[in-house]
Amino acid sequence: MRNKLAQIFAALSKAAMLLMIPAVAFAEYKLNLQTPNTALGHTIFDLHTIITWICVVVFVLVFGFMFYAVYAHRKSVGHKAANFHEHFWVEVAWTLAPAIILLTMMVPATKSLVMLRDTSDADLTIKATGYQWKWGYDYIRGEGEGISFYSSLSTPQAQIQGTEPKGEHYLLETDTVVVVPVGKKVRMLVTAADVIHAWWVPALSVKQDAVPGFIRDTWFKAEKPGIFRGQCAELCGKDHGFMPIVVEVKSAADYSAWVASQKANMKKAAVAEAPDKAWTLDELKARGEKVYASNCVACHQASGMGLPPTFPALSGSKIATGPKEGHLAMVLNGKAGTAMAAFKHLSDADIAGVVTYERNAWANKTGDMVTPAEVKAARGGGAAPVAAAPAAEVVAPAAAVAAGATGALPAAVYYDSGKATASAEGKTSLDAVIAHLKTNADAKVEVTGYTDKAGNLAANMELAKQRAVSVRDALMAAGVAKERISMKPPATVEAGGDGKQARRVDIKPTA
Amino acid sequence: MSTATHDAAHGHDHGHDDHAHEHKPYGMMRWVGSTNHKDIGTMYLWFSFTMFLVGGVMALIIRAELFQPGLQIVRPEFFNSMTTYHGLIMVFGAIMPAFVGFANWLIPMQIGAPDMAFPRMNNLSFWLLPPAAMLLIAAQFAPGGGAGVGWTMYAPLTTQAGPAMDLTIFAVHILGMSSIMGSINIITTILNMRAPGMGLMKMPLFCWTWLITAYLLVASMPVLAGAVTMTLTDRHFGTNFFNAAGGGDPVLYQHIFWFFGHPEVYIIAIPAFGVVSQVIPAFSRKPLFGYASMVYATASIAILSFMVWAHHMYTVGMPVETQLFFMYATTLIAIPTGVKVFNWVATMWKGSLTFETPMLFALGFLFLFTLGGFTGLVLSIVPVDVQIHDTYYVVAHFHYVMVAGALFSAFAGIYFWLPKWTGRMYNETLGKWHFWLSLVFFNVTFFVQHFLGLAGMPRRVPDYALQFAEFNAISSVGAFGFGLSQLLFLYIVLKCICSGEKALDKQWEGADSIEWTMLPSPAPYHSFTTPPTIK
Repeated sequence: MRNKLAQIFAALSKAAMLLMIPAVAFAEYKLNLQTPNTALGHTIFDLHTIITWICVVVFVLVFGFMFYAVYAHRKSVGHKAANFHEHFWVEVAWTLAPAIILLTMMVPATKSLVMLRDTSDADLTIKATGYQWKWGYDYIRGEGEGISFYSSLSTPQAQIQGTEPKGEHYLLETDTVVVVPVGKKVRMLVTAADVIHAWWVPALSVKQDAVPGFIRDTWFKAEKPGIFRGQCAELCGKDHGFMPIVVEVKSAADYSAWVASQKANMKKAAVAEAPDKAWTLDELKARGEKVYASNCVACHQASGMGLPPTFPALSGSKIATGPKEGHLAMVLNGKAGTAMAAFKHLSDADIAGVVTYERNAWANKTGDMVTPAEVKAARGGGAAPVAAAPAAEVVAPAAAVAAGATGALPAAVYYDSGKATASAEGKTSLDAVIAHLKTNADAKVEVTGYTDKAGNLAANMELAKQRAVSVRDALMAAGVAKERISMKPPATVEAGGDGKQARRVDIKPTA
Repeated sequence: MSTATHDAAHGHDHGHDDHAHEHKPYGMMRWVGSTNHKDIGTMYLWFSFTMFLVGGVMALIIRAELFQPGLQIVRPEFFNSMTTYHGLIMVFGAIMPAFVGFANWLIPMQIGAPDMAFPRMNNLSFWLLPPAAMLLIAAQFAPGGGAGVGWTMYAPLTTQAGPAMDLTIFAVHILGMSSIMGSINIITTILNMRAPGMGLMKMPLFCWTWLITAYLLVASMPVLAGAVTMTLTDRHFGTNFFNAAGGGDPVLYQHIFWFFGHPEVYIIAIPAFGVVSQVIPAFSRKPLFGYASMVYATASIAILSFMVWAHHMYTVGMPVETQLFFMYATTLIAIPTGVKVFNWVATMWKGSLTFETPMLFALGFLFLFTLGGFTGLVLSIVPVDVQIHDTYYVVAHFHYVMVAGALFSAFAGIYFWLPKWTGRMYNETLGKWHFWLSLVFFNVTFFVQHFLGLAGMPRRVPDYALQFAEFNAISSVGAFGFGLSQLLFLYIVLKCICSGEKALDKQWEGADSIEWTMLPSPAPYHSFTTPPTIK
């Protein structure tokens, strides 16, 4: 019955359109809401149809009266004006009648609203994060938990600029798609990293604003497999029109297969990006160029010249050619009060790549290289202010040096992030220990490498062990007998602070 | 009481009943220093028309870019700036000043007063407008171009914008000050300067609608000023009102903005109701049906307008109970609005109708505003709104209410009172052409946008997917037709002022308010130097 009404409505509207503009009547015109692919969507579709019809009926009635008056009560046909100007009961009636109609409308509206907001008992929970200008997805709970990726517009610039013919899914296509199983309740947690966006897929009947700093939720349960396309629906700056959403609904089996392939890819990526991997400058640049193309190019432009003053040039910029710590901090933490967002959500390797690329592209020829390990170390500062972040990395506290210089054990040898060779400060304290051991020929020491629980624990432990070994080797090279050194298993410290305590090897007198 | 105020207000004119002795300054200073309600009204109207053309050109840039998919004419950031300033200029620069212009011209003449209560403040409230307009236009040339944040200026996007944002914020401050001063003036004039016998419930409905609107302005403009000031301090002084990282809430901005923004909709619509309530009875030759219920309905709409703001924010993620409250409150507005529409139709019923240009525009208003009201009802239903919020359906909806509503009613008012203002008649044939061209092109532009929104085209995008191409092309053609039709209006008005035929004192047979029955055409420089006696 309701669907029939909807069909009649569509047909009528189409007929009206055909009458209005016969010349263009053969093109494909979409006149109504997209065909819903959820049960709730059908309810809403019908609700819209019914309310529209009530409006049409009232409209026709009221203006039927008006046009009758226009036709029959004209002065030109000799109609004489009556002089009535109020009627109590008529006025009461046309106050009450709309009130009753509205009350009737509120019943289905309330019901569907309560359904719309019921996000309980979800089978799968996915977090969507809006960025200027792409979406990030994290599968939080349910089958596929742990999958995480970004999704940006894949329509080539040439199509947008009109130098190439536009494809079928122009502006509604992305490099990666959100995959969900059919018939399962999917709860979407929606948030944003910079400004307000809105996650909207019309055919799935979901639209939820993505508010930075807050997590809101919505849900859908797709009825049929297929590909469904939507867009950001809240003005979010320059490329608001260019951050689409593509959701692919798959059968349960296909979905499981997709999850398996994603997990396999993640494993491969984890190996390829192991923290101790030695990156070359060219590898980082190549990776960075790709990261730049999907994250930075919209503002800073392919030429690196930006669109000043809102989006400054990187080519020749003070930050991109200055100390690399400052550059890295800018990319990681953004700059408050400007369009420069924080990019901490990218992986260490991506950030290392893009910073390295920016320092060596266009007019920038620093020859510098920022390694993923350095990025990891800079992250150790957490949400530290931009300027403070790199400080932990370079400053050797005078007190620590002094402690080392006295030669008193225990001593701590510090390391730069991700490296198995001691930092300058570390070398100083190591030298002091060597001097101490040379003068006290019977002193014995135990050596312990420390790490923390941030990131990949196995890799951290391995690094701590390597560092301990490097200390032993250094002591032996300086002539300390192997028997005087006992190796302890690596230990962890609680994450937090500047991370420095997690990058040390302790040398203590053996008890 | 009213007599005493009246005498004080025009003391220096006392005894100069002969209008041949009007002392008006000549040249530029007449306008710069004017304290005369008619001169100031005229300036408001010309200012408004100028802004209407500026905002119109921006609209045409938008429509030109959207004529075809792809980016052909402008860059996305410039496009965003155009949508932003088109909205700001049309709302604050064109529509609001137009109705303040009407208020200035008409309120003293309709209540039997010589002028407004505070003539010098009246001068100031007009002369604040040009600097504000200059700030809005200068923002286009600020480093980085205009702020592409939308006329609603949502945080935290505004925190990212360039210096243009600051110019825009200051412009909004100035416009707000101007509106508040104008409102205080209107309230005081209506409450204190009515002629003896002109009881509140005897005032022409236009005065009633402005009295209510003025209260809305006084209550809501400071709220907007607060919201943009908080944006300003977030931008420059390290506050975190709208910055979640600092403990603020971006959605707070929306609550504050729409607490102003929804009454603002009625600030624009209610004086339009007033104009139409004057025009329809005049051409029906029959008194307005349900005068008292019109007053009560208008007041109810005004009060309700402060309780429905969050229906602009159904998708931000409010608790379901809050959404239900705002949905119910919003649909309530349909009741008094319905009463008004029924009253207008009942006024025409069994009248003796003629269809001069003002009546045509008033009927255009009635028909299209009601259509916009119905799409508003559709939008008020939360689950449906979730589908069409921030789409072209909304764009179509508010252009039906703002353009076919407020603008058509302003045209009706101008054609209606032009003979009284200038003492000359406009060309009726050209006026009708203006109406029919506007009506047809308006619908070509905006009716199809309903379909675009339903099918899923978001608003404020410079480019769109291919399935939206046909309707966008149609809409753009309509927009250019509509824009060009308004040049005809300029020609009609200029021709009327320069060489129109002499108008009668009571040009319209059915007009019964005292500016028609007691004053000559053109109306004298000081409307009523001695208070008329109202039966």
